[in-house]
Amino acid sequence: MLNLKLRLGGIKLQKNKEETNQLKSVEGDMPPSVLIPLSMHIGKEAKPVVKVGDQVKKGTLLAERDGLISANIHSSISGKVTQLTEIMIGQRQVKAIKIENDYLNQLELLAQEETLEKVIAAAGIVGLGGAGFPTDVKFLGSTCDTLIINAAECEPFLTTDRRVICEYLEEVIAVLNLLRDTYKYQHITLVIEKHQLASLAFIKEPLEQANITLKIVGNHYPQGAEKILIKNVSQQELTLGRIPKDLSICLTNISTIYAIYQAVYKQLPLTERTITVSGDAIAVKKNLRVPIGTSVEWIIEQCGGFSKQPEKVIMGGPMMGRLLPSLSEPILKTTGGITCLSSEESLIPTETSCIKCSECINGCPVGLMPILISKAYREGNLARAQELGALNCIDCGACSYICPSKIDILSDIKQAKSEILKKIEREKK
Amino acid sequence: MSEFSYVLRDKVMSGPHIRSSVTSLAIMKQVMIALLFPTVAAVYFFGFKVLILIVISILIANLLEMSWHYFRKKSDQSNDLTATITGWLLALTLPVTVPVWILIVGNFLAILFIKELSGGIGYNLFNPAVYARVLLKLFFSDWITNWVSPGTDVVTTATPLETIGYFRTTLPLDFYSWTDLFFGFNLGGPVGETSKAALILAFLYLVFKKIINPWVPLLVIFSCFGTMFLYSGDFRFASAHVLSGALVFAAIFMVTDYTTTPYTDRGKYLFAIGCGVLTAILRIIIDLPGGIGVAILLMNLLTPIINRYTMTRIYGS
Repeated sequence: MLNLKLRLGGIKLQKNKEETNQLKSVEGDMPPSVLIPLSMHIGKEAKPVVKVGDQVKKGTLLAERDGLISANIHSSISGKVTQLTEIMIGQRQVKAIKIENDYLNQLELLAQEETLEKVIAAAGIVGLGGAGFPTDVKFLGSTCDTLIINAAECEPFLTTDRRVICEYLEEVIAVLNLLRDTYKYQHITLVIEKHQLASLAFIKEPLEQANITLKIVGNHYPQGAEKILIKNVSQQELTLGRIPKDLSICLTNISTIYAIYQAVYKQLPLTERTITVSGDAIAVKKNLRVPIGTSVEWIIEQCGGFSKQPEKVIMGGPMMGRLLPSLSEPILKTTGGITCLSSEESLIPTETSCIKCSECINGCPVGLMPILISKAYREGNLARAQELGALNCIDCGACSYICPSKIDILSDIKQAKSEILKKIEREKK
Repeated sequence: MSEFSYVLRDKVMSGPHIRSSVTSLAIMKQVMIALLFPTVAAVYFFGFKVLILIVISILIANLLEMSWHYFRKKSDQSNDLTATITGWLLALTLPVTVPVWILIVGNFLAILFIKELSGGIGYNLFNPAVYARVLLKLFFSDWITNWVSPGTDVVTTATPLETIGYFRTTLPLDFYSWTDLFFGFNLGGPVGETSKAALILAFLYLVFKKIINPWVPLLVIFSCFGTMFLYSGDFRFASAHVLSGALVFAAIFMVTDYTTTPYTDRGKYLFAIGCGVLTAILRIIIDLPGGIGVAILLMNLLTPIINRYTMTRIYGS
């Protein structure tokens, strides 16, 4: 009753992109060594094919995919394998290979492959938007009729997708034409946020000529979330547990498209990526092209170090990124940026009582009533939390961000979700 | 490397790592700024004594809340300004002739009975100021309805509403002029409610600062107007009802209360329409003014039910 239309509200937040938006991506100094994790994707860890002491070139295969949902890993610099070790990334322990730089810059190209999927697989390309799903699997036997290219980088501070549009538009269009020819897509849509429109006016004509639709979405966060994009582009909704393929939609990030270009036309595997180094605690903000496996510490050094005491260094953006426990962690294939925040910018005041202002309800992009789920969880009522749609939460954090009482609603919902999933697991057995 | 080193103090936690700068306290401060508009008008029309009454009411409200927190050992609770707003609102709904003991009783009802006994901020079912005002009206009518006209001479008078309510359908011939009704000249009544001009400024301020949804007060007023128009068939009569009594004041400051109204916009709109229609009906069938207060309390009772039927639609459902 009375539930006619879904509000795709989202929230307004300070984007903090002005300073890096216009910065051409540059290359920093070569790091003395890189530490390359063997799991930078969703699925199984890759199997190492090198041993300590081996000489490798940039592009040499270090580990090959293990099973279908997995991805190849290549060396991002030329040098010598000095260590096969294990490191912590977030809560996960993963194998990693350390390579000392020999500064010879030798390059190894990909072998020729027969099909596009095989090229993508060989190059170890995964979704660069953050999820890290192996890209070849996404396209495998694709029968979708719509391809959506996500360039609506809604996370504050990050501008790498935008730089790809500015710097490699021709290359992106070439790949999109190739994908259209291969998979017979009827519609290809490139999605950008409204605030970028003026400065990206030059893309309209080339896109039109290539028969690619430009879709402009609002400036609200999180417009770049998969479910929200699908709703905006196709008016369809993904029901719980279904994937875009079920709606005949294939969705890819624009940086992934550029990685495909490198693999197809240059025979280069995915060994480097552009990241935005930003935040008020960094001395010089940059869009930096770095070898995968470079340590965060080296990257910060390339940006002149800190200008203020850093309170939080985040892998990714401040909304959905991961707080780094130390600066020794390496850059992954899925890293879109490093955000260094001072305490002024990242201070989280203490929680006060909920005043029922409804901001989280108005802001939830998937139509949940976040505060009610949080309350249900705190009261220990998991059944109620599930009934309220806790499992539909996309973890965007809009509710926690907007809450004037500074209640960490998302953290409650996340815990509720994991407990509900555990319960469902138990009941299955 | 720079002189700054990175030490993670707290345990590793998930995002978001930033928060909006708007706090509950900041919202309450905006409401207080909005309250200045009717307050200035009240002081202009009814004299400096109004200010003293407001200050006393605010002091009593805070004193009651602080003592409650002290006795309940909730000493960590910092002042969120909500008691101040309740005390302030209550004072604005009373006449300038109100004795101080009425302020004490009223705040006692609002702060202790309604707010704190329900569990404190965010938990009360009824709007504290409205609840106190309605009970005062019920039990202490004699002390809070000796309205006086603005000006130096203390002359008891009727409020406009008393002359047009209770099964009347037309305006009396000697009814107030529209300018008087709008600006609050020569009108008796609760000090904060007589100047609609000041209230509209407060409304615009709250809308501009994004504290309230503009449709909520507008729907209260439109639905009350509509009901009165259907009842009387007289455009002027219905308009007079909008400009008389506490309707505009309550629509802006009470019907928009976060805690006691529904969660979703759809729910808030239903709530607002309910308040407007009920007010009109109560004004027609009950001999005394104060309809909007009772209407709000009745709708407060319905809030949980409205909430149940106006849940948001979950994406993909």
